[in-house]
Amino acid sequence: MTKLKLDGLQKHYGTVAAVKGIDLDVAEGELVSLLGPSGCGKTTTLRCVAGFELPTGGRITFDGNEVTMLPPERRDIGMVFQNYALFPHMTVRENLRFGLEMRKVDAASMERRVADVLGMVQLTSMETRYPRQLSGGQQQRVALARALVIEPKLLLLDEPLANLDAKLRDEMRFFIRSLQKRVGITTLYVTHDQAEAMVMSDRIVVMFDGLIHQVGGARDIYDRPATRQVASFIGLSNFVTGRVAGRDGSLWRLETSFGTISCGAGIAPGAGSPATAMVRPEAIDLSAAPVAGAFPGRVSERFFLGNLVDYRITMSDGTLLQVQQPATAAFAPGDEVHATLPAERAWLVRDDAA
Amino acid sequence: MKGGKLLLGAAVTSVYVFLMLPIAIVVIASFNSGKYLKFPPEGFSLRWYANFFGSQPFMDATLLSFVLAVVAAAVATVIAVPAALYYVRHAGRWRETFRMLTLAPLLLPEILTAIALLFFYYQIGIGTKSALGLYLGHVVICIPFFFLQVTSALYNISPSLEEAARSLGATSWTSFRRVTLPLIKPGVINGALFAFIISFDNVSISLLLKGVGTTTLPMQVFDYLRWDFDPTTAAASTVSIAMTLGAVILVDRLVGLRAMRY
Repeated sequence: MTKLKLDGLQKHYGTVAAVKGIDLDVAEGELVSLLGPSGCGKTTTLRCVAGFELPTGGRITFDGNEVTMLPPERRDIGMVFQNYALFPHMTVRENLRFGLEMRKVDAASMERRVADVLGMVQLTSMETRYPRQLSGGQQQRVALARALVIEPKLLLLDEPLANLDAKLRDEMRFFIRSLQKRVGITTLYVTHDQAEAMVMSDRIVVMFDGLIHQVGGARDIYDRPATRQVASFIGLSNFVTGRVAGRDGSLWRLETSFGTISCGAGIAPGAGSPATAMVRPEAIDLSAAPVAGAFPGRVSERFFLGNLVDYRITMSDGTLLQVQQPATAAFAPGDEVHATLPAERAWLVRDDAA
Repeated sequence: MKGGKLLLGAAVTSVYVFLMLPIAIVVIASFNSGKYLKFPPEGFSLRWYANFFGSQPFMDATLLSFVLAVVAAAVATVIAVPAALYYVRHAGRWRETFRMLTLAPLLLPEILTAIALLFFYYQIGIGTKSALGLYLGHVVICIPFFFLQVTSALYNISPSLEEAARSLGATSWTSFRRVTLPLIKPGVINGALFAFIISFDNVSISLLLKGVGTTTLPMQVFDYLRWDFDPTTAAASTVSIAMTLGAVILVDRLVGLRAMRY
């Protein structure tokens, strides 16, 4: 069932367009991330959903009811801010009670709900502390608890982990995700961190420049990126340009200057038109001996990354490919190698830059 | 390092001496038993206090100054707090213009403000027959100080706190009352104190705008000094210092000046 629906959402500031028409459906209980670089419109989108910004076009509906122009206090949302925004003059308990008081919850259920949620975020003993007496991670959990205790229709998180150190950030990813699943609350999550989005989300919405480039699961986005920007924002990638030579079933043949490769595609380019294929560095296979379908090249650089070795391979036409292999593979700079670009890991992307 | 500390100590001490010594001398002179305002005093006596408290003009002036300062501070609160909120959180295109206009009474020489107001009052028919013009004038000069205090307090709290309150179901008024106001309280209190003190010892505005037949304490001291050079004025000054100090201490006791820092 659709919980949240954005219909052609737009937000202009004067002549500057921050969000240029976004359509999105979020299902009940789903966690959807808005992922993109800063300035892509993800935070503006979230703030429109929260009601802190009024859209200049389009509609927002919760459960089929339009809320586009409603003030935030009438939307029934829980929000976690990047700086947590805990009320510094209130204890943890008072912070949690605030939303319940606004909803005129009776005293007994207020006590129970605060206790329940504090238990959920493992902060029962911190009730009487002030926010400044808590660590960053604890403040983060209080912020989460404060948003959840009101049992809102929708949970909104704006880069909630950006201010935590790397180790804690890792832990909190799993903590938030499992809590979200347990509570079953529909969640919209804004982040610029691709790993965070991949770990946490049911679906990821990748945005650039006020537009959605792709919506999909982590696998879709990683293996089958819709655009060159999506591919380069998420993980490492090689882009190979060429001309479409034809089609074999579901695969396309791309004629490049070092040879013809096969690749999948979500688009249907016309034969003879220029196209760009994306291949992840770990998808490329290297061998010392010639293999059928492999292209010759030479190792020009090698970097040891611990679990992986990162090679730069110069192909016969001068194209530089980045290849990552398990650390057991041992090629040295100058070695002649044969690179296989497997068809199932090569993917044609829309390339507006080309 | 040690020499530097010593130098700093000396500098701070001399600043305090320069600031405090004249005040101390006035206080001491007020207990002089001699007939003239002079230092060192010739003996101890409370006769000038008796003279001050027994004088109808001084009592009327003290009462007027006190009521004036309280009213000016109160009215300035009602104007300066919303003005600061508007400037910091909402003002758009005319933001800086708005700020300059609000601060104008601070930037212009006070006597010019007073002259302008005087002309204005006669133009619109208020004149100076009632004390209304005097009250308005004091409010006008109190606002800039108040505005600056509240503005800086607002800059110190994140706008996301108000948004958090809104997301939790608070209307904008409730989120102001429950979240913003408690957090800017130190700024508001400081602003009110500033306003009280500024109004209490103002001369230029009162000089031109005081109503017919009424006068404020500083004006009364000034008038008195023209004819009598006895220590009654020192007693009046001491009382005025005591009242200002009293206001500061009272506020500190009631709400805490060093209100919690978060």
